[in-house]
Amino acid sequence: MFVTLQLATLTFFLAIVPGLLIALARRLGPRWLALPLGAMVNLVRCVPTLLTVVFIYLALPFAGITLSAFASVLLGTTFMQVVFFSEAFRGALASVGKGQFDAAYACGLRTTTVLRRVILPQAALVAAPAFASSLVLLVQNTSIASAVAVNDMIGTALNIQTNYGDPAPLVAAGIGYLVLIVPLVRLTRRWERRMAMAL
Amino acid sequence: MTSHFFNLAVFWRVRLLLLQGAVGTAKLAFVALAIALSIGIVVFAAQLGPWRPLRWAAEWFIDLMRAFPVLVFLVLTYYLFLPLLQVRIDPFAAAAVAFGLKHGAYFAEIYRSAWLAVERGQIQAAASLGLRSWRIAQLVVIPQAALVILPPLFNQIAFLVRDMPFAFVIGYFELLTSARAAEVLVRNSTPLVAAILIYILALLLLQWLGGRIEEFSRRRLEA
Repeated sequence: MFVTLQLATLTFFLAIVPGLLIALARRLGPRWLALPLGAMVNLVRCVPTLLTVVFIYLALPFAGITLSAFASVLLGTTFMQVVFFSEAFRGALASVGKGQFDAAYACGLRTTTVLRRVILPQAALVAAPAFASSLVLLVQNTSIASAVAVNDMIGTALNIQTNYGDPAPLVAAGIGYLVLIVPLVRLTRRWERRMAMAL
Repeated sequence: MTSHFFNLAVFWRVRLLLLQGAVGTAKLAFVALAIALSIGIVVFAAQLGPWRPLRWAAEWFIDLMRAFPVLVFLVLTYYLFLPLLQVRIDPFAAAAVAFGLKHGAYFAEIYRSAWLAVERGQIQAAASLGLRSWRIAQLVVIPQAALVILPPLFNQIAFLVRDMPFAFVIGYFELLTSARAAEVLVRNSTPLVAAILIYILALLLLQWLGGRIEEFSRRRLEA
């Protein structure tokens, strides 16, 4: 449980800022930056997260980069989560009309001010459901840790099941994930409803 | 460097192993998709039905499925749920059932949003013309909902395919399992890179197809 929470929190803080930056760069950046970034995001979205982690853990040592299992999982999930976050933010940014930018610039505001006072407050509202569901994905993806021998919640339970044939820890782990994630899912549902009503 | 990550000779040596794994993945994907589409219909029907406890159960089923990580649900299905039900099955069937249940919940949501996208007034109008509910579905709802449903449906199929590697956790022989076996065999990362490339290729194809379908349905909806 502790490792699961640790992984989730670390991934969240490591991924959120680059995710936002990529989304902003794709919306506001020059073409030579926005186009390759878009292509890269599309490509990375196609890779199963589990494969990313396994690749970092098993293949990078051949290139002389050996990471611990924990670091591999953290790096892999963070890498993928950056992309998932950036997609959630991009959708929200796209929902703010182009005229809003033009109007704010016409008022003589600087880019940072435009973003902070005009665009982000509006985008945040739209981003909420997508953001919540990518948070769900984040916590779920920490379970990948068990596949590369980090003893997270499900990994520990699996070990006990295979070694002692005792399924009780599995039940506990299942309930543990539900306790962590069901509130997030209910929240997503409520936000989705509210958005649907607002539109 | 390239000899360790992109070695054509090594790739040629392990091609049959990888092919076997890819076939396993494809087989699992098709069966899981069929199960998921059907479960989606059942859950959606339960949500539409007049019976309140059933509606409530369907909503909780969807939320629980959304909450479980795929890997955890897969492991629980294989080691816990099915043994509890006294069913002894192989990893393939367990993975198909687990992916089917999990993605079935998402498909139910997709069906529901398409159903909601059809204007209520049209259904009421059809009902006042004296059409039976089955005829209303056939003549009014399905032709319109089908167009709305296609893009998210395709998106979800791509997600389903992206979940396939998890099946290796319960020992099903799919692409990742075969790539890891091959990696140990030849002490080289090429098989793993190849597996990743195969997934990227398959999913890019799905993404492209999805884009085309989205364009098609948008044109038809505007017309």
